[in-house]
Amino acid sequence: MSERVVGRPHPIIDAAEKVSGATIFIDDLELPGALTGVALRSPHPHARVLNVDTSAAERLPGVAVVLSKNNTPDAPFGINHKDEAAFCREKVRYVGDEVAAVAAADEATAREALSLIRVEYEVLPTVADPFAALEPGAPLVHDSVAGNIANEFHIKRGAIDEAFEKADATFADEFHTHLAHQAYIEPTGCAAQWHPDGKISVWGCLQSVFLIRTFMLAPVMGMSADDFRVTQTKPGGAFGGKLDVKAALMAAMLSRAAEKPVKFMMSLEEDLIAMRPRMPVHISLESAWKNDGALAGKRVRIVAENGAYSSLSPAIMSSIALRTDNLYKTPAAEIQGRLVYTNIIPSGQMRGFGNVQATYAWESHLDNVADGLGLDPADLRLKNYTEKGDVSLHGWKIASCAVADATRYVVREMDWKAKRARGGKGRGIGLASCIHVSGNKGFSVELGPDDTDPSSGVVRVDEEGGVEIWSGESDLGQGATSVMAYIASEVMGIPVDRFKVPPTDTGYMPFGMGAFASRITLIGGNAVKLAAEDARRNLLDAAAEAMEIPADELEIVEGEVRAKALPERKMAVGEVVRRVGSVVEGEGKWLAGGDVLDKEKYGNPSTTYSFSTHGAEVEVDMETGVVTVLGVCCGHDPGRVINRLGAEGQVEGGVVQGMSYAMMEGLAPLEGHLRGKNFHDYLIATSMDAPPIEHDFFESMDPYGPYGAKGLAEVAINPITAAICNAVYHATGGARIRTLPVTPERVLEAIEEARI
Amino acid sequence: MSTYEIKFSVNGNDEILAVRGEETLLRALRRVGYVEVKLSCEGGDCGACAVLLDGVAVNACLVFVAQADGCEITTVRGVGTEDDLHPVQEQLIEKGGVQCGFCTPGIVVSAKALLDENPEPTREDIQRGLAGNLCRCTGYKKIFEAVSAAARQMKEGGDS
Amino acid sequence: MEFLRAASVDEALAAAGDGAAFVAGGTNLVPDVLFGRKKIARAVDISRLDELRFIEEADGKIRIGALATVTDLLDSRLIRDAAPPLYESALEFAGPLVRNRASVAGNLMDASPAADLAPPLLSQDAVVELASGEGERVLPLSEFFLDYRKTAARPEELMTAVVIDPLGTADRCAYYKLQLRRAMAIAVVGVAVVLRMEESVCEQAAIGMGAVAAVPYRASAAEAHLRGKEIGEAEIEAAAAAAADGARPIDDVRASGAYRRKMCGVLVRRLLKKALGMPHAAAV
Ligand SMILES: Cc1cc2nc3c(=O)[nH]c(=O)nc-3n(C[C@H](O)[C@H](O)[C@H](O)COP(=O)(O)OP(=O)(O)OC[C@H]3O[C@@H](n4cnc5c(N)ncnc54)[C@H](O)[C@@H]3O)c2cc1C
Ligand code: FES
Ligand code: FES
Repeated sequence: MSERVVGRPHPIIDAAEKVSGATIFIDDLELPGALTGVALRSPHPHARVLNVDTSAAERLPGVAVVLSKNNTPDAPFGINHKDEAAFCREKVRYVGDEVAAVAAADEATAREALSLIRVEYEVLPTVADPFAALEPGAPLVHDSVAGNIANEFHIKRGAIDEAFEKADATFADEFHTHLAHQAYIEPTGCAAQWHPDGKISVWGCLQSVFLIRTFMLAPVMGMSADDFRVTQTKPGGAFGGKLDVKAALMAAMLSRAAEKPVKFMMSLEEDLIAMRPRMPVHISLESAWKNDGALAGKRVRIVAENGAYSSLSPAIMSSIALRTDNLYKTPAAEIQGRLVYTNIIPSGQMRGFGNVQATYAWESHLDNVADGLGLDPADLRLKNYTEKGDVSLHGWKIASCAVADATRYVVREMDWKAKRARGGKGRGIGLASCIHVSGNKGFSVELGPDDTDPSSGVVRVDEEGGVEIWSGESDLGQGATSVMAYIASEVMGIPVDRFKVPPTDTGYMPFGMGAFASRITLIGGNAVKLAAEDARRNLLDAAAEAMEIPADELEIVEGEVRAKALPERKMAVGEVVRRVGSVVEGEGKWLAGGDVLDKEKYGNPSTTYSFSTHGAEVEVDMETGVVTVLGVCCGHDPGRVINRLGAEGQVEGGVVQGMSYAMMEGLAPLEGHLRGKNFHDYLIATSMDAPPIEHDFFESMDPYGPYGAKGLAEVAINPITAAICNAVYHATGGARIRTLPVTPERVLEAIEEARI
Repeated sequence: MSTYEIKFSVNGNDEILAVRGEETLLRALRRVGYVEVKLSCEGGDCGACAVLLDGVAVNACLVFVAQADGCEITTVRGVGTEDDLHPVQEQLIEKGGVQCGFCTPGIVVSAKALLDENPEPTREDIQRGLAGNLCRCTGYKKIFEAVSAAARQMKEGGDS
Repeated sequence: MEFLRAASVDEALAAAGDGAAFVAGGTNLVPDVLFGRKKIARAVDISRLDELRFIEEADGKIRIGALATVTDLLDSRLIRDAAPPLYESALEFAGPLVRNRASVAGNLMDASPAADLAPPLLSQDAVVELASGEGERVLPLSEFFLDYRKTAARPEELMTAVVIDPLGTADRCAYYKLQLRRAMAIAVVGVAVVLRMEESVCEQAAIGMGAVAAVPYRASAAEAHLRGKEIGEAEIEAAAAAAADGARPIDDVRASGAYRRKMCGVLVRRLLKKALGMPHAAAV
């Protein structure tokens, strides 16, 4: 590895503007003459909308427009099921559902107008519990969807019945996860400006500026995707939650109706009750084993809570159902999944895309198995891990894999054997592993053009020697665009500080699907790498002409084109560009490999898989159930680390976010009403909660990744929940946390249960 | 609706503004252009709105702006700008203590207040000093490292 | 909402009443107004009445001015030495940004069942001083909280100080806040224990409880098992049982009432042992 840039620690490229408070986030954007948009949201989990009377609101001075089902077309949308409308039509289906929206001169007027809208509801029975929703005769969330089932599947692979019949031992468990929010600190908002030619500009913190046009804005507003120019503003965090942002639709519809710019900022409470939090799931597991610890087969039954509308939930459930089977050599499996509508906030994707939940359940189960078989949990995993060259039960082709190295590292660093030998007295350790995709071809069916998952990049060198990278892939604040700058810098021999990566903008940037499924580094990174190589070639060709030296005898070092043999013959990159008389550009495009899965969900959804193992040491107060995470140790396989500082930040951020999810978060629905509506009831980890974290990278050098790199964002969060739960199990001598989060009360219950 | 004319200085600039009784310092600062003070929870829970009020770090969302009449206010841009970064800011860059950057203005203000009080903080002092500032991206570790490094940098700077 | 800055205590008193509310640190009041939980006609700003911001020793008592902030408690040698449970509660209170504004009187006047300063103040026999146009009066803190967010103070009354008995060498004490994260958390249960020992006999016992009933209160039934006794396992068990029995906790988003009740027993037992230097489970 002889790279100069790749692999070293670099600050993110926009750090200076961020630390000095100069960054403009959506709420800071000045749009002269902008109106304030706000939404009227349903106070009921489930009710028929008999009448919406907006007349008094419309008459209020300062109100520009009021939108509701009365004056907007019936244009349902949704990525998998067209089950959602801009404004509720026959029914409201969760507390927070948009019933109407107002644009007015200022916020006070807009809010007063909301209070003047009269909605007549006929309250219907709430479908709050997914199991009750599945009962025959349960009230229906969507009248046309029988049984409240949004999606279901049943797959059998391998000789599953035989595996259980011939097993030396079988184990069964049930796990339940909770409704938890992405809880980025910046509340969601969007701005829109209608133009007299009928086009609309939209701004906001969005994970995909391109896709929001095609699945939401264009179909609902009856316009073509090109009519929207969508620009990303600097994101105040997303973590999966900014893919389907209805605020963009609200702002755009209000702006078109008012023929004025509109800013639609959600309060934190609105954000917590009406975005798309991480899906709660109920997972039953059965597994069959040989005495020597070889996995023979598993049966998985999942009931996943879809909430009121579906969006990407079928894909999330599918990810939960199949994912962990690919981490271990699994000879046979039977998987059943049911996605159930309820009258609760629609659930969605958050960092991990279901894998946090799946990994929690399966990796907790594995420790129960190890206990039952009398094996060490680390040894059990090491015996069964998938390896490079394997094709999994579901058809995943593992091209690179260092999970075993990661686990051995954790075992060594944590003094595993010695600490495992103690335990049971309030102190314990545990670990867990995961596998994640880097890009998922599965989404191309739902989201991509013609079932493909493309990314493209443009690299432009200007006459001052500065370089701009245009990529359609969004940075959500974790430094993805910095990674692109480092890659291009490496390729082009131009220092990193000369690079700019403007926010994604459909107005002039090439297409990219956006930030999800850890696809940016692999797919976006490859596209930019190709573009940088193209730009480098073009630069050298131009320099060859200017310097009268053949291009293959030139190189670019430190922003200068130099003759390899005569380093004193050199020309600054900017000067080369000036000689050419215009910008020098390069283009690159990358089509993600992998398969679209077949109907039985068989196939290789990505070319590239990342891995990690997390270990946790905890102290449990056996009388109060209070758990303290004393330390976390983890190993990650991100293929190749492009930016060490950024990679470390991803890991540390992922671990603490995961720990926070595991231990204290929860929107806590009660009869359809959420209780975690602000940051003192929705708790996330503070600086006082952050445990010491030790970690290292195990670079498996993926053959498809740019410089061997793979995605890291999601493997950084997936296993920590199970690692903590396994440590609690060890510390308490058998208290198994089957329902998240790991609150003191729950731990105490589990301790008492384990005593019986 | 009662309005009041008040005066205060922000980062050394005198501001005179007409305010309503219930308007918060956060809303007022943003209204007159100090948008580096971030608005999130408006309930004191996140610390994104932290400013120094007469040198004391507070949540701008928990103060009626009229209470700040006659006071000196310092925002993150009063702590340091791109061309003239405070050691805390320099080290947040160097050590990777900033990701999305939404929490950062508040973190910078709290960290500066901490170091003004306690020039040689331990890791625990730093954890405690930043307990009112939520960060969802970094996991805090690199922020702690940055504040520690800033303390060292300031000490060395002071000695020379 | 009208806003009025009081330049003196007298001015504050003159502006009180008629839907007015005093605003000190504003950490409760400002968001209450913003989110519409409280409608007030006039905010009377007392935050700059420096004459109400002090912590001093006088006549064998500690007087804490109404406007002393939680940060002031942490900065005070006197509090640290002579009111350790109060000091510890201040350490666990919110985070530094809130502590810099939050006042002692505001915490009591807000009358949240989970007000963190209440259990330690109760355990040190706090007395509050109230002033109004009609004069001044004092009231034991144990009689101050009447019901959920209801106090014995009249709307026009200004709290001017809180007075506590300092703890001396013969006193044993301990404090714990059970919370769902390590900072910025509303208490699930808060307990402060103070024992005045005469040789091996407990002269006085005071146990302040928070977040386990509509108001913070003294666990008098538990105290009765200790007062005048040589404290051994049996007394501690009896006190712990009485503390659990006397709690009237509710279910909420943080914990169930049943868990809270159980924790009253666990924590009282543990804190008594800790105060007396007996072996006890670690975490406290
Ligand atoms: C993010 C956050 C975290 C918090 N964490 C905690 C915590 O951990 N523990 C805890 O106990 N509390 C906590 N609180 C609540 C609050 O900070 C405290 O109750 C604080 O002590 C209130 O004091 P203040 O000066 O800000 O009161 P204010 O908000 O100014 O006033 C509160 C009430 O008391 C009245 N009042 C104030 N002073 C007087 C006076 N002198 N005489 C008569 N009436 C008066 C006001 O009219 C008002 O009704 C938290 C609040 C926030 C926003
Ligand atoms: S906005 Fe002030 S603390 Fe969150
Ligand atoms: S850097 Fe994103 S919240 Fe702190």
